[in-house]
Amino acid sequence: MKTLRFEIRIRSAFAALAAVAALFAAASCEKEIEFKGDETTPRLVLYSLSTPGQKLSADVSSSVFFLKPNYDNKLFTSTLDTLKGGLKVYVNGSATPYVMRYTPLEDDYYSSFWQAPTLHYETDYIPSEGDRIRIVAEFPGFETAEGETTVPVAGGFSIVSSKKNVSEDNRVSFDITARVTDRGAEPEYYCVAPARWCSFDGGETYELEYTYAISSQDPLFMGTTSDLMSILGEEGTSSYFSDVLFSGGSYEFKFSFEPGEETVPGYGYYYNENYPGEDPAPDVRYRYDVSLVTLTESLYNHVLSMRSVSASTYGFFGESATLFSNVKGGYGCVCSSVSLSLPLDN
Amino acid sequence: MMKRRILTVRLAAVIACLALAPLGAFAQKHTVSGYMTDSKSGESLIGAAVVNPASGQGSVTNNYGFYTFTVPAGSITLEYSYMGYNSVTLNLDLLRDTVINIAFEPAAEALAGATVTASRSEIGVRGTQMSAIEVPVNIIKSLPAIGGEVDVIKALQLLPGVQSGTEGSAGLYVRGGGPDENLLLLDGVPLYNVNHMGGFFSVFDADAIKNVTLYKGSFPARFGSRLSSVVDVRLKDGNDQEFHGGVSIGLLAAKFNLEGPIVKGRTTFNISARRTYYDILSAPIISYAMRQNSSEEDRMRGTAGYYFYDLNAKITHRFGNRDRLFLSYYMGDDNVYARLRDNYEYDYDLDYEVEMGGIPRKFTSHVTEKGSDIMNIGWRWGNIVGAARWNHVFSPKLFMNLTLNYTQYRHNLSIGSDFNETTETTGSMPSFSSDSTHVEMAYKSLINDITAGMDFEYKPSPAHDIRFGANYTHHMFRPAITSMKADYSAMDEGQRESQKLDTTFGDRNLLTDEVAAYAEDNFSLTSWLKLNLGLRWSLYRVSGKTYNSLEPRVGMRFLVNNDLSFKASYSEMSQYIHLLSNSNLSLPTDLWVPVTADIEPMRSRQVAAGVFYSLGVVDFSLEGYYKTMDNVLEYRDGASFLGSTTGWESKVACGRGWSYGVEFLAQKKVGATTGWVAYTWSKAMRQFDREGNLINFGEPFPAKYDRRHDLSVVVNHAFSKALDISGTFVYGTGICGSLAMQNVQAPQYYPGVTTTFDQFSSVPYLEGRNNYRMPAYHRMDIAANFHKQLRHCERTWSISVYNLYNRKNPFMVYQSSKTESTTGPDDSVHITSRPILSQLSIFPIMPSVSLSFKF
Repeated sequence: MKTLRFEIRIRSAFAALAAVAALFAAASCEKEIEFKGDETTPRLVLYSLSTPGQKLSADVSSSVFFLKPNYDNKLFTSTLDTLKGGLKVYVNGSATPYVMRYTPLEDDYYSSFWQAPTLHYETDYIPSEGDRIRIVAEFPGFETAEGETTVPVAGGFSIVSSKKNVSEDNRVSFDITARVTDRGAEPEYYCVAPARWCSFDGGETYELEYTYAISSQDPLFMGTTSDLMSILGEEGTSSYFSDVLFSGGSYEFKFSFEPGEETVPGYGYYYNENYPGEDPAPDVRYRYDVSLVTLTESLYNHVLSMRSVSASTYGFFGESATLFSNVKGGYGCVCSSVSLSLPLDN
Repeated sequence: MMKRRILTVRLAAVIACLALAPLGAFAQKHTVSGYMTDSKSGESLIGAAVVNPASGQGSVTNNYGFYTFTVPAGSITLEYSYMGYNSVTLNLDLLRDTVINIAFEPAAEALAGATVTASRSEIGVRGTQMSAIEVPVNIIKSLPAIGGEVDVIKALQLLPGVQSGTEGSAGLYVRGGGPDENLLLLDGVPLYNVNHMGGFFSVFDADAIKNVTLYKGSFPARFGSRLSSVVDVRLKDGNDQEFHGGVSIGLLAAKFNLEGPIVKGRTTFNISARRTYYDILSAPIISYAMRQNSSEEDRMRGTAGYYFYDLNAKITHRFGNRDRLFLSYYMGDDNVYARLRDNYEYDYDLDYEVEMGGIPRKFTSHVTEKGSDIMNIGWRWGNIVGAARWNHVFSPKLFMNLTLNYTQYRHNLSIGSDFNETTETTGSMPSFSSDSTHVEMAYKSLINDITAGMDFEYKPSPAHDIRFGANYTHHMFRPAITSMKADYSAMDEGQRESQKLDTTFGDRNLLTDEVAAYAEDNFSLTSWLKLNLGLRWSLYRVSGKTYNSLEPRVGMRFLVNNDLSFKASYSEMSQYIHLLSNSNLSLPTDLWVPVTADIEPMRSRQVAAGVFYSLGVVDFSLEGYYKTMDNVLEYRDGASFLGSTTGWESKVACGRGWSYGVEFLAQKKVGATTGWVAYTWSKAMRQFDREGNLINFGEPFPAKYDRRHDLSVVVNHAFSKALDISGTFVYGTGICGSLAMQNVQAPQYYPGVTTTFDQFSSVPYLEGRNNYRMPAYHRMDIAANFHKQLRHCERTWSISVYNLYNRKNPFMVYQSSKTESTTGPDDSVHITSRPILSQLSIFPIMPSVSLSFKF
């Protein structure tokens, strides 16, 4: 079935309906109006994701009144004095903080074209599971902002069964039964993230090509995707779930994902940025794995709110949304996650 | 403790004695009963009065024109009256219970269009009913309207305590309630979707309507199931003497109505229909645009459009003085459609060069591609209502109304597509392939209600007006069902491939049962104190869970003199269904869903007090109210319900709301000049602070349609029988919206990939829900109706202008950007873009004209 063609045609149908609706809007008019109210006071915006085994870092910026040009990245950092201000990290209630270093990002898009939209800070401290981390940002002219997170204990994860399906046109899909075990004391959130890794030259070096949405009818994922939206092209199930069904215990669930076509050496045509113009396709090798990411509730809320803000900003039907924040005195999210990956049989 | 209990018992006994005292005085009395009608049309009159001038006591007709009045035996004078009609005075020597039917003659001095209205004593100074308003249909019909299409709901929006939604919409927000908290009854049958065209028009056709009453509070116990208001719309029965009708043509719609006797004096019919023809007018333009985009090779044809229609029909049969049968039917639909056909045929030559054995060789082929692509879209939604009612007069004091009705709300979206293509290559490398795809998709939602009910009115004495009854409703919700059929076949170089899909999925049917019983007594304790005590019990069963609700209703009237009274009321209401909707407009994707095991019924409590004064032809009222609402729903941040109820419970938060306000109404109902001035000061708040149901960080926030000030002025003046002019002016504080006033740099997170935040983008940050108030709304409309009596009919030209001074009222306010270019001294052009606050307005000044004939 040419599902792509089908989806395009369905979307075309709705586009036609939208055109009819536009007839009614023909008489409407848009105009600029004056904002009556006070300009909001800028606040510190602090984001940090702690991951065991990785040096702790954080990014800080300033909020900007909405009628100031938001494409100008300088506005988000120009009022922050890096000499007089800074970030400190307190671990497990310690009195002596780690001082984070302002670490301008080098040799990237921002340094060559534009100023980075945030100030990046790093420390040598490497978080571990169970660590309680508090980050405090102090800059002259701003209220002190601080946020706290406890690095979650990774959930237990095992693959009970895994079946790889390959269609006649070489499309690949997986049907998987997995078991997750809740090990943390706090309410935990999880995410299942299947991924495909490629070795483009047939060697032993694999690069991450893509991560995939999953499909599942399990109650664990219920209520995340509407039927109509799935027809309109919204793929898969939200891969997130909470431990509400198995808090402190284990839970077995089924899911599937469809990475799509695999390139067969010597057959068809293939293009990738590493081997432009190769013909026939090179000896590409694939590996698949599934990660179980254990997230703090704050990170989960951040993901949800980013999705909600996007829906309300770009969609007519979404309710207005507030970006999640767990930072006192400012905005942002201090959160953590830990990931466990298991390979799938090819 | 014991003393208090004894005191309570004694107090109850005194109240009971006072209440029952008039019941004991039957021996010397007889009852006069019957129907009051218009002498010319035979139409029953609702709220017509009969008064015994000697005692000052009286009675009024019910919704079917029936009255009953118990008076002293012997010689007596009775005065019958109905505004706009000549009064009737009867001197009787009453020896037994007597049936007296009154047919009123229209008052000769009444000017055409000089609208008069019934003074229904229960709503006026003398009655216990408060927070209720009758809107004369004649005024509704004379008001200016969008496209000349008068609308009942739009008229209700001009009343105190009723807020309109966004610009042009037909939503009702009564005393801080939501648009789904209104019980809209058409001849006693609830309607789910009362909106056409996204809410710009309602389904009520003014030509078919006899009476409209709005209850905003102090609800009589016979009404329930919604929190905030009851809109009771009654259809005309039809003329029982001669045939009458009318046709009307406006810019948007055409209408006709016809009424008359099937059996003279016994059986009548009334039928009316309305259809918009925007689709017919726009069809040539769309076809022209299609042709302009076509070429010789690619011929596109098609049409698209939108229309709605309404059909009202009613048959009334009188079996005698005791029995009447009413059959009424309504059907209305909105229909969006598009039919597109694209036939194409491309011929082209393909030249290419291939190196074979080191020798380049040239090939030439001729390719013929032929195909057709057909797309059909149909989107239809609407109501069907059928009702059968039987009125029976058991005795002059006991009246029964037996009802069996059916209501259906349906929404059907269908998409069909046929694609066929063949590609034939001749020449160096001949080949043939074909591709065919047929797709059908349907998305349906449906609600079916079947209701059976009995209502009794018992009037043992002039002091008591007792009503009791019960009803049962079986609801069948089919919230969202999707079916898909797809048939794909292809042939390429002799290889045939085909696949089929035929599947149906969606939410399961939900069967629920609702039972209600009520009793109320509207009785006079003294000449100055009148009470309305009522109790309603309702039960709702859904998915094995049963909810009960006991709703007390109390109304009190303290009569100072014939022109001045004070009233107070308390009422509780429960609601078992919710409307899931994400937009400011009423869309067919909005879904009604019942309460669940987790989402409890909404409940409200309302107290109100007011003063009512009649100054000759002008009535004044001043009311204050305080209302609390529990278990109200609000959508969580970013929640979207577009066409799905799947997991809807997780997308809403449950909280509470409260509202309070003061409403003033001055209404002139008779004379050449009629109209009203309505002003409301109000505040409506919401709070969602329960664990797991936080919105706005648990802090209170204003409801979306919280308007501090709301003013409406409605004036209609009849200069002569040939000309009447009406005008309206409305002013309202701007409604609330959520506006993110800061931008922050926020990171994306990709599970399994992101280990530290490194991809930031600018994201709007919203400090609180409904934190921004839009600019104020105001507008003035005028209309002039020119009447002329022709040989066989009356002709009326109606000219109206909506939004006379072209006020750009806000429909939406949002962030956007403005691009500006400046030219430098060296003629270089600099283009800059800056963020701005934008407002969308949809209805500029809109003149319209319509022509109607009445015969």
